[in-house]
Amino acid sequence: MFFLNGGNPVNKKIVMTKDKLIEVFDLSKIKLPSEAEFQKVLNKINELIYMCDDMRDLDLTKVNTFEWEMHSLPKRREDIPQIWDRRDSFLEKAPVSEGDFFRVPRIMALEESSSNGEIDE
Amino acid sequence: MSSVNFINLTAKEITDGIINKKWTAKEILSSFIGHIKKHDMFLNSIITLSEEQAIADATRVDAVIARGENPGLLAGVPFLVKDNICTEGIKTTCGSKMLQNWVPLYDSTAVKNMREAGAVLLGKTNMDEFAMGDTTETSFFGRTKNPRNISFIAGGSSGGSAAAVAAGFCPIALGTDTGGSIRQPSAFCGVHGMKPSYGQVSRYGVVGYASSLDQVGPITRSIEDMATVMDVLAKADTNDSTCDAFDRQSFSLLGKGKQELKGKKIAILSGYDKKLVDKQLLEAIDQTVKICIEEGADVFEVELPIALKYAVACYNIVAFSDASSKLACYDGMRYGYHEDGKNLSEMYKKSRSSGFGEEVRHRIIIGTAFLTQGYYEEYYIPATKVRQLIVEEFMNLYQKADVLISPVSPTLPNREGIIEELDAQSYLKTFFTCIANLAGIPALSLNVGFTPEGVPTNVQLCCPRYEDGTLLSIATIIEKNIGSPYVAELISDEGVN
Amino acid sequence: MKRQVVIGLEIHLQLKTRSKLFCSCSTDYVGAIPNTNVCPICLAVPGTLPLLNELAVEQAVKLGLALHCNIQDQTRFYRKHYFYADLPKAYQVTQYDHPIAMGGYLDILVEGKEKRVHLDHLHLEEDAGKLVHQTADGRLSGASHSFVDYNRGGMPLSEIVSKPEINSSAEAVAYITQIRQLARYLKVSDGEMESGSLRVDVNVSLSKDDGSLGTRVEIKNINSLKSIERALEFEIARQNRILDEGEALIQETRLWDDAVGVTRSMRGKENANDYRYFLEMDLAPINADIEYVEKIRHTLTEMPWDKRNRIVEKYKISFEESLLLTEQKELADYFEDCVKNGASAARTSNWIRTEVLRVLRDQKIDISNFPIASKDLATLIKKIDKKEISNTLAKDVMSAMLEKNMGLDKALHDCGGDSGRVTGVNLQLVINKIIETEPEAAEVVRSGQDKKGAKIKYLQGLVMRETRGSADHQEVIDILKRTLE
Repeated sequence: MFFLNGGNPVNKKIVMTKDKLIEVFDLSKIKLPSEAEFQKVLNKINELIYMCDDMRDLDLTKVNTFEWEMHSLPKRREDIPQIWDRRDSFLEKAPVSEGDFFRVPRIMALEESSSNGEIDE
Repeated sequence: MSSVNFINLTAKEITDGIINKKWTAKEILSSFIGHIKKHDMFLNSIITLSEEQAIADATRVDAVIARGENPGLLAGVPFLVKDNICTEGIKTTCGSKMLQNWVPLYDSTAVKNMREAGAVLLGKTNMDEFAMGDTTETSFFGRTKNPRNISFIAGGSSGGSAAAVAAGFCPIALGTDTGGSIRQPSAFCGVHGMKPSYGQVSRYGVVGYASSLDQVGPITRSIEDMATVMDVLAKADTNDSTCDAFDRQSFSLLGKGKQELKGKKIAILSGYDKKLVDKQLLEAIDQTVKICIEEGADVFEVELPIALKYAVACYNIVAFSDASSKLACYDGMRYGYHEDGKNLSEMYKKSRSSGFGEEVRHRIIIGTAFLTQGYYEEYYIPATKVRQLIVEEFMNLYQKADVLISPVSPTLPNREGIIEELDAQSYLKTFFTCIANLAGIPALSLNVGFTPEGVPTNVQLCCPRYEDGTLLSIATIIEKNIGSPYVAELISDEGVN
Repeated sequence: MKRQVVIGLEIHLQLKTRSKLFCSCSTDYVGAIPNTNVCPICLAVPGTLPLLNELAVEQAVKLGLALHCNIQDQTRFYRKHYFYADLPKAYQVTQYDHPIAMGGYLDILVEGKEKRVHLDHLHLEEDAGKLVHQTADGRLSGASHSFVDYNRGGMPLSEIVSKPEINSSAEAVAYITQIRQLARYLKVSDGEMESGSLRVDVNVSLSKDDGSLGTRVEIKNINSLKSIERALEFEIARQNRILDEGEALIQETRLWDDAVGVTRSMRGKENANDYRYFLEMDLAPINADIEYVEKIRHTLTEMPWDKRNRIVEKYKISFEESLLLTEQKELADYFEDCVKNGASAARTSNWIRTEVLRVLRDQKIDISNFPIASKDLATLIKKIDKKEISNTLAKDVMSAMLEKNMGLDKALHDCGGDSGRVTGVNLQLVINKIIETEPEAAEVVRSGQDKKGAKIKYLQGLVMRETRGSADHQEVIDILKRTLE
């Protein structure tokens, strides 16, 4: 086992820790479950990691990551605008629609940034 | 009124009768609906029976026949569709609380093609929630029982579709297969089920869970029917960039010509611990191999060491990671289950945690974990490279073989409520079927008989990618020797067995 | 102590296609009713699949070629995951490891000097929806909710990432301005910061004492060129202050608050977001082989920098003048058309830069909507060139044409401009032409048989008609007689 990058170990199996898993729950936007269920998930992940140990035996340096091969690629879509005729029905049935909009809890500008970093106030 | 029991007919027989005006589509339909209403309460294979829609479809077919026009390859044939395939105006729940009331405003290409071929849409079948599972017991709508024996598990995730075909609720049904979800329930329910090559059938309108593994496929009681459905489904589609745009040849026509196994090379998968497979299933393979030899094929054993060692880990990582991504759109805003929250994050968490069942939540978490920094480089990327090695291993195999034969599942279905355990048998459970999804090859779960106790036994045949026609030809020959599976005997009024 | 300012710019250009990047919804969303340019694909309805827009690919390739990039074949899209109300799929489809254009450079002009800024790459990605916290009429306002409009979601964006080779806010402004001009020349984007079709994220750091790169801070939410200058000024000062105090800078994203004039750190876990990029398997690789790229290359017209240099060369006008004339391709075309029609380059340049541009500014129109055709302006300017009319008169004529919607001839006549003389050599030419068309009458005069002068008068009449009465009667007779001796 040797070290690179100021102490980050290489060739050491990265296991899933409790702290990291809590982060993963947040990233997935799923509530933290009971202690028992949390442990169950933690175990499942580490079991899968354990299963992956064997992959280290393989020399993958010259292997490409997988991509589908196709006989013929479909032609790209032409730039012709179209109107969707079910928009009204869709909006009506949406769980959080209000008028022409979708409504969400108030977003405080700097707490959760928009995709473009905009402040639309 | 004909005295024929329509329930036992194949799709081909139904269509022939309609074209020859022996019976009408409405007659056929009424018979199947009656059968469903009598028996499905004991099986719970159907989530939504769309009777009105079906009558409209059947009426339309009868009108086309009356006008003397071509009614299509599947004229008047009732069919059921797994509830993760979109049907316009008909609830599509994916077996989940998250979409329990969701009605799509568009039709999937698969359903559109079926109805254009004259098939009559009966309704939507039960499934493991979001296609994640192999028992059809994680469904929000309760478990589906196996019509062969209600103490058996139906398998999953297309358990509803497989059970419906076995029960005679329809001669053909559609399922989806990501890691075995058509083939395994077909084996457990004793019918034929096929996963086409990846890129063969459009995924537009399929609420799948892994973009690079999902395919829609037919479940039938005859290979002839399967080939017909493949003709209807396997078409280029401008709505799906991953659906190959090449011109397919007719699969059902292949069945018309002279079929021969003479000189064909049949590879028997070995290298796994045969003690982990129920002996009746190994016998089923032996029996199938014997037929092949009698028909003039060359038979030999073959090992897939890379697949055997790495496919399951590879599949789990790739599939679950894709799932975590594909299911991220369920936030309760534009559709689906919604719960309010005091801020955006809380709204998402409450809606998703309540809307998804445990298995789905777990797979999302696991998938997300393997995509995070560190894990992605350490496990996900190697998994995608291993997948490439598995593809290459299959390509090498098919240099010397025409078809691979293996079990579908290591176990027979007569086990109650299986819990997912990571033991060696569970490993094989995933292994036998997931390899076909990883490599994108066509795979058919062929029913080759029943044990003396009436437990179905299936074998799996796999061909090279895009050789779906070859696969169907070979299956046709084997079926000719063995016969087709019969419709299950269902006890109704007198009580359940 | 003076630290070197190091700036990298990421510019997002909204591409000028008619439909979105992955679906056929219209891209004409400004002013549209919310959530009307939507469909199952861009609303992330279950079961839908993205379909790549051909024109967007073409426009990205065009831009890449103009920026001297290497266009890559078979590039891929990736998914960038995060949860936010304006992102229906909870992932953005973008490019990551394999962008469609790599490398490249842009030459910019800063205070008269040219500087080359190298690019890292250019890639395609989709835009997110818009959030509003209060509508214009206040009706939906409430302290408790925000509202989402997906019209903009799925719009095609081309992101151009520069290398960190910009070293001042003046250079940053020059770079952005040049990209904007290029985008408009190529007609691949409107490139307007105010309406959001050009957005800039600024990365700024101060190099360390040993010359190595300092901690990078990203600044978002800068919506005008002026704000770029102000934001950079503030941020550079902020960073210097912190470093002077011996503190460490945090690598982070900050938002520019234009009202207050400061950059703010974003609270919460934004900076800890793990985007979990992985390959988008619902889309095939982007075909952009050599044949395809060359076909697009052949459709490229003159680049703005080449045009401005060529115009200096060809028309012998100053660089500053050329800069102004070539700012918009249509304006440069107008200028060249005038000169092609015979107007002098210098005078045309003056007229466009003073008179024409003033009208465009005042009436808030574009040169393509300017009511006076280049041919007519050329005619007018030619008259000044030939001293047939004065500059002042010409301005009157132009005013008459614009204000009273008159044609050139009528305006000239009304302003007395057609009393301009056709004389000397020009008159001779006209007379020669008439003589050619009237050989019999000319012969009569030549042979001395035009005793009563009827033929001469006849020819004179034709000449007067030809010159629209702007020749001197006597001069016509004199030249006719002399020519027909």
